[in-house]
Amino acid sequence: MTTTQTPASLRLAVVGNDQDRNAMSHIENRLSGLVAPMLQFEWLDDLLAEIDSFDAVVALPDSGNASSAAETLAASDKHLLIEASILTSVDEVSHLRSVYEQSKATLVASYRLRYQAASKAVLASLDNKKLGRPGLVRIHAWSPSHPADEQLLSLIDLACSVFQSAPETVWAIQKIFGQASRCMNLHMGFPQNGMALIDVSIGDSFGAGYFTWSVIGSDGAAYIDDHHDMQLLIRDSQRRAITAPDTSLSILSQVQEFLDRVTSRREPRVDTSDLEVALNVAASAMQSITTEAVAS
Amino acid sequence: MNSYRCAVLSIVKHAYVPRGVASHPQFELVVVADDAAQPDWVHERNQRLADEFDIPYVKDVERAVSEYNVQVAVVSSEAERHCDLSVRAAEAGLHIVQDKPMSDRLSECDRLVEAVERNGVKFVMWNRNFLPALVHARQLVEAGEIGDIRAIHCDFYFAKDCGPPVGSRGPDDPPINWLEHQIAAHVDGSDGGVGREPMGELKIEGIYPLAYIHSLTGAAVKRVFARTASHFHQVHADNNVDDLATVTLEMAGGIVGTLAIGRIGASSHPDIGEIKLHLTGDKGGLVISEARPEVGIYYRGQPPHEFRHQRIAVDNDFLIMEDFARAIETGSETVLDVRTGRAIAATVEAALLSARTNEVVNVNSA
Repeated sequence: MTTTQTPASLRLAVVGNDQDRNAMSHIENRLSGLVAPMLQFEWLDDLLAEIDSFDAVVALPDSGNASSAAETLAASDKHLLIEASILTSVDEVSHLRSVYEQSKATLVASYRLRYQAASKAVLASLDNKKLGRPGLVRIHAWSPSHPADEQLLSLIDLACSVFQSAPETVWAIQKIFGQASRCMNLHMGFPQNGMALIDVSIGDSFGAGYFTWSVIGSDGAAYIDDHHDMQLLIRDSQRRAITAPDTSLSILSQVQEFLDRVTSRREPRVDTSDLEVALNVAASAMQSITTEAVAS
Repeated sequence: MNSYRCAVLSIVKHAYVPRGVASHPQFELVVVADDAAQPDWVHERNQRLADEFDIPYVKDVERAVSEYNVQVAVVSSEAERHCDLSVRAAEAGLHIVQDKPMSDRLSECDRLVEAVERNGVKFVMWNRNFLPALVHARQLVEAGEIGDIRAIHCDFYFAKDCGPPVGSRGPDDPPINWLEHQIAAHVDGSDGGVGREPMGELKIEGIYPLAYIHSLTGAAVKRVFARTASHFHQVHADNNVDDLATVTLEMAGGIVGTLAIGRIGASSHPDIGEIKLHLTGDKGGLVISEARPEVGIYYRGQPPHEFRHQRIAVDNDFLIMEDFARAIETGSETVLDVRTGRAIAATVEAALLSARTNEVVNVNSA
């Protein structure tokens, strides 16, 4: 194993789908602690072939088998930020954590949803105690074909981030309407009587999708809603409500926090805890659906 | 056009129900009545409404009904007396407009269902189903815009305070007395739970969102899972009732529903509160804001508690009574009839049991 000395500036490699890599290229000059230019790869296997040319990796969705690549990256003490939605099994995460605990590099698995501008504003309000003690999180996520499991995990993570805790109980209902359409409802109970409702609905008719969530705290509340944030486009005798696409600011925020963590050697060095919580809650939800009983 | 003489049988809360009844030209308030044995504060409030409408106040319900030739009873007493007064009205052959909640006990609701049906009178629970957003939502659903409904979700948050915040009671302070607090809350109209029996928001206000869900789906609730908390107000904590609740509903036809409800405090919303409906169907989804249409009005010197956004085109009171008159005259069911009201009360009761036991609970469908 090579010796890792955390450099003042990191050589960063990015691997994943075109859209996310394109977003990364737009924010490259805004990241601090980074040696430009970033290296870009479509697949993790391609990245491993040039392993000596970077210090840290940002693994985005659609980049290949993260578990097997992680062994090589950890053995070479390469810091790794992995978009958590890539990982969908507890075993996979345990393996990843295990190999990184044997290295000297930093491993962070995080969901980008937490870094969206709206999420950051709400979480900051909670951190600042403006909303008081959180009591209720309510989420609706409707989409045409997004992989439901990945989406659900990031939503669970969002709810858990509000309460800064895993739920104590999970009650879930799932309705499947053919191959391309289904809805799932999660009803979670958190310590101190906290509660969360998550509605995930998948169907072709949802088009561009719809997302809303709210937090009800003891001293205040926050409401994030596509319904509120829509603009109106009038064309060809038709009115269309449209939302602005997510900007690259969320990925900037997610990557910058990772770089700061590496360069400041902040602990814990290996951090997959949020991901493991989300996966365990999803497993409880599946158990609840199967048994038709409350899982705890 | 028929006209109906109405007796107001107790009016201990803010008087939105009798005023709503009187907003329709076919209904005339002619007398206020209550039982003589009621406490002074009840008589004072009854007298106040009688004075407002310049009609007599009679401390004998049965005598008022027989002497004033009334056809309709308007019941707005404490919740624990709702059903008793309504049953007595039904036995006298009166049609009934009753305030929410139906009762604090399901057995009382059953007694009322039996009395209403046996006497062949019409009954309506006061509701908000004719707010413009709800009327529009029903039109869209009935037109098949989202196809068959698969799921329906309702947020129903009232941004009102209710006394001191939770955690404010000192170690030597006695718990807040529910009835005394509710009587005092009459000043600002936040006395919806007035009565001897403490009631949480789910029981007091749950009728509104559950009536929305019923009116949009027509589906009976079969099973529920719920969580409740005394999250905001000391009076709720001291009396072990909820001011925040979530309920998952499993409904007939495989429809999934959820309800999030709370008295979330005046600081949590700039207006009356966030009240929304989310529906999904096999052809699409629908998001409805109960407040719309509304007008933003802001001005120098605006009182801090005046809502900045004013609802417009609201004709709920008139339309409830128009529907009620039609029901009396044609035999049709009212917008929120006695069986639906009872079903909602059963859903609430099941939800509260679920919250206590942390288990899924079947709704008592009678």
